Formats: sequence, C-alpha cells, structure tokens
Amino acid sequence: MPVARVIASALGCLTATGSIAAATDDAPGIEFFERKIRPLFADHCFSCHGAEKQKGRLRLDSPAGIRAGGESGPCFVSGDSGKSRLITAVSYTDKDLQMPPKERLTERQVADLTQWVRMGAPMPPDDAPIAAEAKREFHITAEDRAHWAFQPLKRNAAQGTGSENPVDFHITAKLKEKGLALNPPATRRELIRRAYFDLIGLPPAPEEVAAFEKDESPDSYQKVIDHLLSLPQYGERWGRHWLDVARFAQSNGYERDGEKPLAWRYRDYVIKAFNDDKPYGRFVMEQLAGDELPDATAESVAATAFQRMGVFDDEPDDKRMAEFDALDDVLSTAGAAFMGLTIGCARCHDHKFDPIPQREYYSLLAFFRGVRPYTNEAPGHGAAGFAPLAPPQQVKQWLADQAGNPKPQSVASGGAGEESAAKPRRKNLLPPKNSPFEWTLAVRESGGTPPPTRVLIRGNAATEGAEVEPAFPAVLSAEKPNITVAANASSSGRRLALASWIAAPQNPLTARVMVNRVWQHHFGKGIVRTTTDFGRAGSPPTHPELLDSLAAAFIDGGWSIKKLHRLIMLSQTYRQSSKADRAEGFAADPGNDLLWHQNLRRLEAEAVRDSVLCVTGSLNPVMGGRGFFPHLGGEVLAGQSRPGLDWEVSSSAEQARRSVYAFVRRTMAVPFLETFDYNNTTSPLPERAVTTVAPQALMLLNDGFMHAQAVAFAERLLREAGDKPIAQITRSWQLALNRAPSPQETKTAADWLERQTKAFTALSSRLAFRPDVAAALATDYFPKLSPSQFLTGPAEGWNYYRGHWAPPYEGIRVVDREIGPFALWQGGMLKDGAVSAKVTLSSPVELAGLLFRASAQGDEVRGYEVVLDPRRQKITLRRDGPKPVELASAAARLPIGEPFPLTVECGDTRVQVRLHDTVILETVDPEPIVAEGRIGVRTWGGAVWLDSLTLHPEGAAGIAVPSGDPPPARQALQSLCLLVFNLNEFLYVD
Amino acid sequence: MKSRNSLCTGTRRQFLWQAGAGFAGVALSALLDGDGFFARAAEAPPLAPKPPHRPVRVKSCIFLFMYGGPSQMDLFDYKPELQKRDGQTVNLELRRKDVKPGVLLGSKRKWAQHGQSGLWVSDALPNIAKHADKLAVIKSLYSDSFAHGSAMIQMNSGRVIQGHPSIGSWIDYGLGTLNRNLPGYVVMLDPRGGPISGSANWSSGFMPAAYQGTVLRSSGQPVLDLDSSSGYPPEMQRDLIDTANALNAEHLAARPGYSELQARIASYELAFQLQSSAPEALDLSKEAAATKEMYGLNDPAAGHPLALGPAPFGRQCLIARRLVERGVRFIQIYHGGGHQQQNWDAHNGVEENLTIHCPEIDKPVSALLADLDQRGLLDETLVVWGGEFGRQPVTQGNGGRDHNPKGFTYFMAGGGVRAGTSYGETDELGHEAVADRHHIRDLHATILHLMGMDPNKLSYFYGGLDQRLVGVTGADPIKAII
Repeated sequence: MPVARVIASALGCLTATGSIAAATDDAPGIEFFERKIRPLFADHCFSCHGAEKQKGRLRLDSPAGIRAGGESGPCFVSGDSGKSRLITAVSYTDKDLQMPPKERLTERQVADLTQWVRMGAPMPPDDAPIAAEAKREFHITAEDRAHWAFQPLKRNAAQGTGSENPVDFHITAKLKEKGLALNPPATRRELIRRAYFDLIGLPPAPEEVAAFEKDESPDSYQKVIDHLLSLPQYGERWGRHWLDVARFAQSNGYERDGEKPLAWRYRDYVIKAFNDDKPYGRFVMEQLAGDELPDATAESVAATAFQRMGVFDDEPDDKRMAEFDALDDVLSTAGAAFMGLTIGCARCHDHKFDPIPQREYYSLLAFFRGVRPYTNEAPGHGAAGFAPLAPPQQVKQWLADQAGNPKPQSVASGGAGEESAAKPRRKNLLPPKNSPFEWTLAVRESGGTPPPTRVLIRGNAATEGAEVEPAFPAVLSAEKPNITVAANASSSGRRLALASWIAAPQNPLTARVMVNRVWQHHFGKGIVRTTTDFGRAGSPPTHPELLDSLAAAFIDGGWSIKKLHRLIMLSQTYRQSSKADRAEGFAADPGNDLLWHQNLRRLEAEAVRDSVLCVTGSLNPVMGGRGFFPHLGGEVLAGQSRPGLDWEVSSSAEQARRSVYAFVRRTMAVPFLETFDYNNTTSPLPERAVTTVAPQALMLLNDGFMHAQAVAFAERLLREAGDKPIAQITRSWQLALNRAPSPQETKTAADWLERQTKAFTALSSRLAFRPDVAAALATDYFPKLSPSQFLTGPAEGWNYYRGHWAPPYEGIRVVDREIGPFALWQGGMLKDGAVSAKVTLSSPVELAGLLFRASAQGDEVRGYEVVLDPRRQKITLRRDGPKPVELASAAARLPIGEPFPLTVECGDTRVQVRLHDTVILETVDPEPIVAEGRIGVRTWGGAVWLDSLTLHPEGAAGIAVPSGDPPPARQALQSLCLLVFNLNEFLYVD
Repeated sequence: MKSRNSLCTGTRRQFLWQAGAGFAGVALSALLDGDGFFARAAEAPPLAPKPPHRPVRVKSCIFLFMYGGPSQMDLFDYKPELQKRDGQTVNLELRRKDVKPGVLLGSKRKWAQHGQSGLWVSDALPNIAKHADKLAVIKSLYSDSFAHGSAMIQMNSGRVIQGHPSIGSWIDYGLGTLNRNLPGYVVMLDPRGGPISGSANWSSGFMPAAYQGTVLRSSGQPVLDLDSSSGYPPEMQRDLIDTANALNAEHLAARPGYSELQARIASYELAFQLQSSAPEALDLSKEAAATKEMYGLNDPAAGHPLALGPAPFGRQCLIARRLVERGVRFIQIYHGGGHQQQNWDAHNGVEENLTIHCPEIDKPVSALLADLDQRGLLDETLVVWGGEFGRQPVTQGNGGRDHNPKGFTYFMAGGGVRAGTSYGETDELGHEAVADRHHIRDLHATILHLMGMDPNKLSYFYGGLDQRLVGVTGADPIKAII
C-alpha cells in the first residue's frame, strides 16, 4: 500500500489565515464548500482525518481543522492550488503524497477542490459547529412553500353553473382560450367499449352493445357505469393499477428469488378494497398502519403487506445497509404512492428539487423504524413478516387464553397486537401447531419503543449522525405527530400517526395524487403527467383548478373512488370522440394537453391477454389465492440458472384466469405480459410504457397461447354461428370488435378463409414435432412436466418420452441432446418393410431422427434411428439402446426449410436409407434388433415436419400415418381467429 | 456541459416533457424514418440511431461474461509471493467484515510473459496468451458484494439493488441501433443454463422494456415466437401479415393523427423481416471451414463430465462477430451457467474448475480476437472479458477458492483500448487491489467512454433524479488503458 510519507513542509509560514475574514463573508463560496467540498471530505477523508482517527494529526471534519492543517503543515495555500498540499495529494502527481491512498478521487472532484482553493478556500468561521455531517442550514424559502402542490386545495374556484359537470367546466374553459371546443361525442359503440375497458378491462358482449345502442333512456349510460362498478372484475382491473404503484410481486428477487409466502393476500386485499369502494383514506391508513388501528381487522392487517412488497436479498453483502435499503424501499414507495413525493432523493443529501432536507428523510424513516426487518422465516407467531389473519384483539385474546391468563388489556388501551414488549414471548404463548389462525404477510413491531433513528451521513449505514424523532416534512406541516403508545403495546403507534396525517383531508397531496391517478387511467395521462412526482421536478398540472375541484369532490364524497369514476365518466370530456382530425386542434394543441379529443389508447398487457380469453369464451372468473403459473416454454426457462425451479405447472383451466392472478416472480417475467410493457415489479411505476415493437407482433402471430385461443375461438364460432363462412366472419367481428364487418372486410376475410383452406389442404398429411423444453431443468421441475411437454406433436395416436437426461448435479438435469425427447406412433408395427416421408427441418434443428423397430424402455428407446444432422450435413444410422452404436454414416445435403424425401427399408439384419431415391446408407447390423417395433420421431433444437409419413410392411398395403389435424376448413377458421386478434382495432380503444 | 456534481439539479426533464408534449404534431414520416423497429415506443422512436457524445470508431461491444467469478491469480494476476507462501496461514477478509484465518493456495499454473508487452498469462489460457499484445488487462478492480446475486446485478447495472437498467440498456438508450432488423442488445446464454437472477441481469430496469436485452438463442428458436408454434410455412405467415395489415390500413384511414397505429403496422413488417434476419445471423453454414475450426466448433467436449469443450462458446463468439458485422450494439455472452463447477464458481476445486472452463473459452476468445482483427473490425469493436468478482488467495474446502470482490481482473481488447497494457495491482497475495484501484463504476465509465458516451452525462430521468449507470458518485474512464 502506498503510504504518503510525512514530509516537513517548507511552506509552513504561508498560512491561510489572511483570507479567513474575507472567506467567511463569501456566501456563494461557503455554499460551494457545503455543497461540494464538505460532502467530498466526508465521503473520502473523514475515516482517517475525522473524529475517530487523525492521521498526520490532520482533521478535515471542521473548518478549524482544515485551517489548522496537520503535522506536515497547512493543507492549502489560499488562492494557490499549485502550492497546496491538499491538491498535490489528490492529484496523485507526487509518488509520496497520494490521497486518498486507496481510491483516487474523480477528475471532477479534484477540479472542485482546486477551484475551491483558488477561490480562497471559503468556509464558515472556525467557531461554527464541528460537522460530522453537512450542517448547511436548510432554509425552506417562500418560493418552496409557494409550490402549487403544497398549497391547500382551492375550494372556492369557479365550478360552472347549475348542472354542468365540473370536468367539462374546467376543460372547456381552457379550450375556449385557444379557440377550441370539445369533439363531438363518441358513438354509442365506442363509448360502451371505452367504459368496459376502462372499468373492467374486458370487452362487452355483442348483446350488451346492441342493448346499449337501442336504449334511448337518458340514464342508459349511467346504468352501464353502475353495472360495471358493481362487477368483481372492476376490482381486478383497478386493483392491478394500484399493484403497479405498490411494486407488487410474489418473490424476493436476487439470487434465489424465493417465493414471498402469502404475498397474494395483499393482491386480494387490494382487489377487494376497490370492489368494496373502501374509502381511500381508510385504504391508505390500512396499508401503513392496519395493525395499529383501534378498529383493526383481519383485512387491515393483511393491508400492511404493502410494506413487505420490496425486493429482499437473503444474502446481503452488508446486513445493516440492507436493513436501511428495506426501510428506504417502504418510505420511498409510500412517498410516491400516497403523496407523489420523491422522498428517497433525500436519503444521502438534502433533496435537490424539493424542500426536504436529509434530516427530514430520517424523521420520516423514524415512523417505520420499529418495523422488524423481514426474514425468511415461515409464517408463525414469532415470525417478523407474518401475522394471523384476524383482528389483533382476537389474536391477543386467544394467546392470553392459551396462556391461561385472565383477560388481556382492554381494547381501549390503544395499539393492539398479540405480542407486547412488556410480556416477553414465552414458548407456551407460541403454539403455531394448534394455532386456529390463517396467516398473512404483514408488518410486525417488537414493542412500543423502536430503536433510535439517526441521520446516516451520505446515506451510509456505517456513519451515523444526529438522532432524530418522527416528524412530518416542515414544508407541509408544522404539526407534531400525535403518537400514542400504550404501556404494553406491541408497536410504537408511529405508523398510525403518519397514516392519520397522510389521510387527513387537510393534507394537500393525498387527494390530489389519487384523483390524478384515476384521471390518468381514464385519459391515458394524468393532469399532472408525473403521477408519482408532484414536487418541483415533476410536471405542473395542465388544469390546476380541475385537479383541486376533483380532489375536493373526492374528499367531500367520502373518498369514494367509484363516485369519482362516475363524475369523470359522465362528463362530455370523457365521452367525446377520440378522432384527432381537426386541423385547428393540431395547430393549437398538438399534444392534446387541453383534451380537444379523447385519446385512443392501447390496452395494457393484462387487458390484451384477458380480452383474448374473454372473446374466445375461455375466461375462468375464479378470484383470489396464490395464483396460477403461466406455461413457460423451454426457451424461456433456459434463462434461469436452475430452469423451472420453484415454478409450477397449472391446469389449463387455471391458466385461463385473469392475468392479475398470474404468479409474479421477479426474475421470471411472463414473456407475453412483459412484451406488452408489464410493470417493473421493483419500484413504484408511475405509468406503463407503451412501446410498439416487433416481438409483440411475433407474440400475437406465433405464441402457443394465441394458437390455443384461436382453436377455442373457432369452436365458439362454430357453436354460435354454424359452419357458414359469412356468419362465422360476422360473429368473430362482433365478439372481438363489437361491430359487424364492412362488406369490404367480409370479402377480405372470406378470401382469406378460402386461401387458408387451400393451404391447409396441401398440408393435410403434415405431422409437426417440436421440442419445448430447456436443455437443463431443475430436478424439482423435471417430473412436473409431462413427456408431451418435452416434445410437442400430434395429440392423438402418439406416445411421448423424455429421452436421456444426465443424473442431477446441483439440482439440475441436463439433456443428452443426441438421445433427447422422442415420440412413437401407436397405430401400427413394422419389422420388415419400409418407412417413407418427406422431411422438412426448421432452421434451429440440431439433430432429428426417424425411428423404426423401436420400443420404449422407460424414458429411453431401443431400436434403429436414422439421425439427420443438418449442421454437419450428415446422415447416420444408429442402433439405439442403453449405449447407442453408430452403424454407418455418410455426408448428405440436408437443406433447411425445404422438404426432402427419405425412405428407410429394413429386411432382417439389413438396413438401407434412401435420400431422394438414392441409396445413401446400406448396412448389415452384426448385432441386429430383429423384432417388430414402432416407428417414431426425435428432434432436438427445433421443429421437424413430416409429410406423408407412411409405413410399408412387406407384402402389405402402405399405411399412411394420419396428421390428427382438424379438417382444412376448421384450420382456416382458426387462422381467421388469429387474424382478428392481430388487428389494431382489437388492441386499441377509441 | 453539466457537471457531475449537479446531477440532482437536472434541467433535462424539462426537455423531456417538452419533447413528449410535442410528439403528436411530429410528421409521421419523421417518426418512421429509419428508426429501430425492434423497440420503438409509440411516443418516440427509442432506438433510432443517436450521435455519440464524441466521435469514435467503436460501434459495438462484446461483453464476455465469465459467470461465477474467474480466479485472477490463476489466469492473469501472477503472484510469485503467493506461490512461495503456499500453505501458510494468513488472516483475510473472506466475507464482508469477516476476517478469518485461511491457508494460502498458490496457483498450480505455469506462468510466462507473452508478446512484446510481456503480459503475464498462465498456461490455462495458451491461445489467449498469443494475443497478449492486443489486451489491456486491469488487475485492480473492486466492487461491493461478496454474493453472486448482488454482485451480478452490480456488474450489469452499477447497483447492488435490483431494478436499474443494465449496461446494454444504457448503450442501447444512448446510441440507438444500427440495424433495424435485429435487436440492439443481444444476450446469449450458456447451454448449461442462465446465470443466477436470470433476466434481472439484462433488464432495462426503470427504462421501457424496449431497451432490455433480447436473448438470442444459439439453440432453439433464436428469438421467442419467431416461428409459428403451429409450423405455418413462411408464405402463410406472409399472407397473414398482409391480410391483417390490409384491414389495419382501413382502421388507420379512419383515425388520422395516430402515428402509433402506423408504427404498429410497420412492426408486423419488421417482425416478418426478423424471421429471416435472425436465423441468417445465426446461420454458420456459409462460414469457412477454417473459421469454424479456429473457433473450436469441431472440438469435442473433453474429459470432465461437466465440460462442454469449446464448440458451444465458440459458436456464440462466431455469432457475436456476425452480429457485430450486422450492426448490433451490445452483445453479452454468458459463459458458465447453473451452479458451482458448471460455471467459474470454483468453491469445489479451482484446478478442476479451470480444467473444465478454460478450454471452453480459450480457443473461441482467441479466435474472436484474431477474426475481428483480420476483418478490420477490432477497432470498431470493444471486447470485454471478466466476471462478477474474483477469487480468494486462500483455499476453501478441497482446493477451492471463495468469492472475492476486493481485487480482480478484467481485460479489454479492440475498441480504442491501449493494447498490451497491464494496469493496476493487487497486493502480493492477489487479495485486494492496492495500486491504481478502480471501482467497477470506472469500468462502466470506461466502456461508455470508449463507446463514445460521457458516463457522467448519459442520464435518464426517473424517480425525481437524472439516473446514470455510474450513479450519483460519478466515475471517470480508466485513462491508463485508453
């Protein structure tokens, strides 16, 4: 380690004292020092030149120390960086004087120090307090206080007259200023589709559209809204919006990404809260302090899992830092979700935009300080991360009864909970085995007195600063938190104090943030575009009076979100057409900030998938629970270090549930959802991105899910429209697009059906086999997959086998790709005779094989195999068995994507292989398998297609192996269904 | 130019909002003009080629990620003192703040200096050693985590906390793509499985998913759902796209002013092109036999049951060269998958580990350097080699080595690096970086700098902050190797 040698300074006489007086008056200079220099010293120098150590008798943690210099003399010469030891040291120009010794400062930092010395090293006076942390006085200026979002709601703004909807009043007023007006109303069909997708995320049935189009009663539209708000699907739709903000996931993330047990209870809580129209203030309170509420319920305890949704590293490098990372996650998420504040910015330094000093960050953090850190313990009475799904009082009572104690403290004692600090946990109090409770993910504190909270200098858990008490941000409130804690309480009551403050009608942010979020999902963007940042770095509201008017109505309406939907959706602004074709509108307001038209919007990932299921009639409405595991193909699983570990195989009925119930695993995003801009699951998502990318097209064209749904849709069309193409086309349009096709569209679709029927007729003898499994699989996942999920092919007439996989290593099995998954036809046997087919290899195929005289031995095969190797352009004849033996091989042209005829002929011990009717291999097996056997197919890497696969037993008629596919007309109908799902009109809502 | 220390004082966001607000008025032709299709937001074309902050020749980066953490003191960081003291007991920090006695384990490798530069390379990598004069070896990197999960995330995204964009996403975001028919950020995985934390390693974090890495499979379909799961031939797929887009055109005609509808029509065309361009990029049939031989594609798997031999990684390196030729910006190949000896995580025997993995990469990496060089692509391509951390000089179990983020080695080649450089030092045992220490932030800064970007300027506004790959601390490129 290079050590800066102590050199007596010849510059001792040149001290900096002369400039002190000037420097102390230098406000911008001191500002520079506080902003750039002091934090730099704190980060890089204090550990050796601070309170604990004073290497070279130098202290850099106070102006006095900096001025005094060390045993080598002063560290700077005011105004002359070239003569300043400090600058020499950090520049690394002198081999013997290099600081910091281990990590060179960045060029920028060196430049800042140099500039500071040149400025005359401005600093506060010596008698200013010694700073272990930057003590720059944080002033909340009048301008800070004047920021719009910190003002109380303006309730006295004009609201329009009489019956005019306040939304329309404010929107048209602004439009008028620009000489604009609202668009004409949307059509009835457009309107009902818009309402359905907005409120429940599913399309209406054709009959519902027809009824609405006919119903001319004045309240017909309101009835539709009321109906939709009463459906359980409403909570599934709007709950999902909230889950984006709450960074909901069911796993921990990081290396193991294990399941976070019972996280789904939070998802179910959120859905129910929306369905019940739980007053939003209460919703906020329950998530922050559902366990501390005087009227806590099982539900409110489950709500606290909001605070447990963050990523969790079960092997953190720095445990103490990880503890504060977890607290930061809760505080930052709560700030963004409930108040639209980027509080996390003040973790390491004072907030750069908003008047939140670092100290206040820690004062806010103090509200959560008592929460016990999450651990990997299983649910149980002692576990930090879980609580019984019951009112805390009931649990307390039960525990007391178990202990044979008299009645516990009465409910009036405040903070409820089954454990208290005063009564240490005794083993007989914790009998999880006979516990009558169900469990939920939740927060727990360990008593009424949390550990002290200290400012962490530069956010570093190892450098603690001053102790702070829970307090609200000064810019928002001068109020002191009203924290009451009972003598033997199980928690500090702090979160309840914070929750009460946030959910109070006086809080200027809470209602504004939520009405903005609701607005965002009705118009595509918020009145404040930055829905999680109402600070000065966020964008200002386009319609501040409207925002306040909605927020006031929200509060006055008892924080009812459903009422808010009605208010917005009944406005003409919401109901106007989305057509964006007026030149004057484009000229005056190209971004549509003023809402001269409603916005055309693309469905979110879940709504796309759910709508497909709904239109095909497959949607399974079952609600709640742990959720289902979408099928993930081998290519997707291959990205995991133990492919398939902890993933499950769900039934097809389960897989037809709504997307909100798809298991959310942080390191295994479901590709269908992810491709359509699913949320990021690690931090609060202000809005979903809307990207338009080629993988989305590939997904809708080619994914197995889409093809299965096309089959289901075709069945539905046959049931409901019969077998006449025109009727089928009409019905498909009505179900998917809620309208009849135009004559031109009908013709396009009918022509398509005809062409497809022809194309499928040409393919009617085609058999397709395709491997669908990762080359490595977790041992626990391996047996969950049926053999037909290793290799996919015709559903009937074939048996499937896994092939040979190496024994487990580190919980993983790896395929032997030479002898991987295969299938045997069950329709006929062959000993002597021939097998022929036209073979097509897809480009990814690594090895494909045609099997004969074959029999399954467990998951493996005994028999002969013609192995096609397109990469090496080689054909091999192999005898398969426990140890496959190559009998003969030859170079051969094996084109990709072009069919070639292949024939194998066998008689007794002789085998002959013909390619394009040319004999390419001929051999006599010295250890022959002379027995009747099955024919079969093997492929690894990619799909192989066989046309006209035929058995020719010696002296008998050929037996064609049927494809098992439905008739060409049915396949054509299925591809019509696929076509409809690929229309823009299906994905976009007018 | 914005200074590093004003990172939290951004004014960039105003530009962002203005740009967003002005979008609907942008002419359609401008929106669709030559931008990257693989990822295009409806609001703006995220992958349109963008000018770099400074003019550079480098167009692409190939990041050879040695998952598990290769052992620096057995490959590049020659420590005669360690050899000498083999068997002695020393106290070392083996996990964070956990100082324990350990028995020193000297490298069993033979060492020699190579090329004009005289770089030390052990006999574990004889072919790479021949290219010593192309390499810039940094021996003094350190990072923040002793655990794979967070160390992987940090090496890829700069943070130990999940949720931030990976370096490929930053490059894609900063430079856009040069080839509309291929993704700009490609990831290839080891046949034995992906790395731990899986897709979190190539996530775009808080950026749109358009910037995330696309796994290009050298086995199976190259891109998910590239082929029809029902095996429709290409002409049927073409007909499907044409028919859908004929209907989409009518839908669009009734909705002027919505360019995203046009973009979506284009995305189908591009999807169709991808169906031929992706397999074409992976098709090695037109490569010369000598080239395939050079990359080790014909070499069998050797000896150990977990060893694959050079063919799979060689195939991926050759594909990487083809992707570079086709304008892909950032290609990351993971060597090693699964757990323990399936990757470089040599707890259970470092010699066994080297025997498995060194032959798998030695020929391929050497061939990649030679191939890029002879095609004149080395100047345009930055090659980066290394893992999530290094290993300890003391023995673990039976001749194994534990994780070590306190000092480890990376090498770079091509792309404007100073070839034939050895820079930085660990202590005499190879445990901790002591001279010219650099946090991996500086490695990230160096990569961004060489790609033509200013690491302290490349930012993305999220969560109230101008986020950067190099974080709030900022970082400088490692000048000595440039």
